[in-house]
Amino acid sequence: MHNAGVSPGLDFPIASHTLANGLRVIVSEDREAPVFGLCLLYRVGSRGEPRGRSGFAHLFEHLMFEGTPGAPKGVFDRACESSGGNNNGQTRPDVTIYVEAAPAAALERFLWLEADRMAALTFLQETLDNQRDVVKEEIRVNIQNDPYGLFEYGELPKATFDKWENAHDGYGDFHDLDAATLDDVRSFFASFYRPNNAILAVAGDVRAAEVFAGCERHFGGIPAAPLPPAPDLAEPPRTAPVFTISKAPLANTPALAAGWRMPPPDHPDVFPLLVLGELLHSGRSSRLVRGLVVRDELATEVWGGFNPFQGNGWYEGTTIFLSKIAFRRDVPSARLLERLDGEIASIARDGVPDDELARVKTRIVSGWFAALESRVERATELAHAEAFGGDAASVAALPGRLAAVSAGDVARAAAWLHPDRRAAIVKEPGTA
Amino acid sequence: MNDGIALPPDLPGLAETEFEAPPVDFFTLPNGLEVWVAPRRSVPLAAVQLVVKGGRAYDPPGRPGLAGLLAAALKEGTAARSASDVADLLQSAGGELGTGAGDELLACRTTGLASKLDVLLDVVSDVVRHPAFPERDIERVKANAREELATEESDPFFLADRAFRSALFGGHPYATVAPTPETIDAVTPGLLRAEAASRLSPRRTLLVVAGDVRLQDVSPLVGRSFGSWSGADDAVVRLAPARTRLDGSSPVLVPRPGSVQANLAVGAPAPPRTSPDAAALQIAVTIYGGAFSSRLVSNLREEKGYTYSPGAGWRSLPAGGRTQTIAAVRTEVAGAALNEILYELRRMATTDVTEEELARAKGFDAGRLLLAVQTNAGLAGELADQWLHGLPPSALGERVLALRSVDAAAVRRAARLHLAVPSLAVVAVGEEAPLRKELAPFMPGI
Repeated sequence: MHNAGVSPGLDFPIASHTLANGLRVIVSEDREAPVFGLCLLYRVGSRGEPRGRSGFAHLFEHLMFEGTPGAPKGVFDRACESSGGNNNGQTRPDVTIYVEAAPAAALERFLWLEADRMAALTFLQETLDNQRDVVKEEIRVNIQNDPYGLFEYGELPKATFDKWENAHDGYGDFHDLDAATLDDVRSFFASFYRPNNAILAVAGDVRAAEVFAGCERHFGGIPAAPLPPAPDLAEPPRTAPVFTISKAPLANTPALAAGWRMPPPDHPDVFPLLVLGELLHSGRSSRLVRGLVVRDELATEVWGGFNPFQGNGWYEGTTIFLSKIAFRRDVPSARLLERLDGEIASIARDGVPDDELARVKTRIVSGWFAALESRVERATELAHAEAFGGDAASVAALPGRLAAVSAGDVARAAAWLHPDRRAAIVKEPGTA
Repeated sequence: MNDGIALPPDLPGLAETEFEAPPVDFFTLPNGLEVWVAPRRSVPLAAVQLVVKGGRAYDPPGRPGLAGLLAAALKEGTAARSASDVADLLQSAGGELGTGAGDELLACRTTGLASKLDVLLDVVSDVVRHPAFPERDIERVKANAREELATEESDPFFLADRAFRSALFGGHPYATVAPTPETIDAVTPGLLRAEAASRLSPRRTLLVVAGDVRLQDVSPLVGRSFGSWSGADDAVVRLAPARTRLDGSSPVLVPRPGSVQANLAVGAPAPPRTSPDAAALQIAVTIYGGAFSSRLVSNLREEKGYTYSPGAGWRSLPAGGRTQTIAAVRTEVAGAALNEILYELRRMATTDVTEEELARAKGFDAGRLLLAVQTNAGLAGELADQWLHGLPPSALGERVLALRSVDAAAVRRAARLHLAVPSLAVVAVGEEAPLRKELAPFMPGI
């Protein structure tokens, strides 16, 4: 058996620099391919949006692409694409990220574009209305017209958590989106889109000194501002389970999503839970595929793990542990749930054999490297490490923390997934 | 309508980027297996991709989609190793087995630690050379394939694609996107063994290794794992060319009760990437709808707010490709959206693109290629597609040069011949009655 844990270190070169206005800049040089990835992370996500404005952080993200006094609507994408680049934005629970990937020659241009839209936006009613329509189409395509409507993202947190910040749907409902005003847009921008609430990371064919100098040039004049207090997001584990079955008229086959509240990010069970997520869900060797798909022939596909919407240990307060399972039409959902609980209970009871634990850890490290190969993913990971770990270089500590996880740790961590602590939703084909 | 957006004067300019294609070494084993090796150092991983000319295009008559089941069944273990042993062994090397079937290629791939390349190659070799197809596991593969087909049939994008391919390619195998229930029912271990024996042969296979490896280390390992492989001797069956144009076509409406959107697919047959028109067609598609700043996205999304992510693409296959526009729009603007799509297509064929659009598209397409090959898996996929089209590894760099030499007249010509052609396939998926009403003014006969 190949059971020696093979864990090369995540030893990317990392340089960092903080501007006087608080903007933190991280650079990881890699000259193998003549491209770079850039991630500008703002520390506000859907959990930080105002009550009565569900979906606002995401709507706002759209408006960041819609023009500034210096670069009117259309300029951002033209400048980006003519440089050979592409861009995207993503609203996550705790952060909103703006990412670009491009050939090396475009670096200075992207620093200019990001600084330009951090400095000022054009606030137009017409633009707000247009992007509200676009966001509604995004919700129609991803939620309303999808057979399962991303229910692990929109509905499961509602069942899992009590606090509004954790529970509400980050896509928002149409009523709240309609209520959003230009004043909301101005105030959100002024509160959160400040240099002292942002981290800029670049990975790839660049020189750190040039990135730092470029950031001083383009971002240095943007003033810092006092930041709103961060919400307290922590929630203790559930004490009673939640289980609902609802009809999904557009679906042909059933699916289940289960969620559990997780401990705060500095808790010693975080890495064991990360291992447990991989051990349960990932690949043919995983417990749920082996047990529910292959042996019991109940399920067709499983997906999930610890902190699936932000990755690794990057979150504030609490996060969700997710199991999503597509299962066969002739299988009662109660039977599926019972077997899911059984797989988790057996880990809590019997632990995990050493060779299985070693294999899973090797696979996690390999998966980290695969994710970090894309320069924009590497920049994004470094920005998250800086935001949540306090130091981008903390990425290098991940293999060590992983290696320290013992079979006993994993068995102990499985208690977080006790059936009494679980919220589960089943989507069944048919109409109510 | 895209005019009047000038780049700000103080926006930093661009230095011209020299494109250097990543180095690729290659050799052929005596049994005919071609091996392409791309050494890179960024991460200590190796991507192994084995691709065989044995995808859906090579399914026997009456068994469309069989290749997908063959690919899934390859994961069920080998003569010497159970499926669990295969999975555990790969996991110990940081890898996971991936198999899949496309239009032309059947693929077996994994990415793991470069220090364990011997294990990665050994497992991939075992999987394609000695598949076991155990009866009980094949029954499960079939049962899950039925469930997956039912799940896919609830997805409007799948329904649109299936109807679109059928409208485009008729009885040609390129029309197939998934197995039929009859194909699934017909699968037996015996059928799979016969298909594996005829398709999985070194003479129709490329092995790509991309990652933190050196040619001198790879070649002995490849020799050890694949040197004794001898498959069927038959030459690859040459596919009949797919049709190059539609002779008139009726729009297709696929009912999906309860849909809150209409999924539109519009397109036509197009030449493969080996065509002399390839670079100009690529640029035309990008300007029309292949980038975010394209005409289609500016019109449908940024001006009208009809849709979240409309787009257009060109997919090249050796026996004939296709161009395709996709948009998911709310039902009440389906007709208006289709009208805008047809308008933007016609504009591509009847007027010249601007110099600014041309320069932007050239920059975008060259950059897209650079970005696509920055990862081991991305590079391996691009190389596999070149090989499929009979192109050498060096074709990567030549593509960038060809893109850079395209002019506006060539774009217009390529758009007229291959993109905005007189006879287009049009498919709409959605709630039948309101959708028919919306589309009727623009599509008589729908």
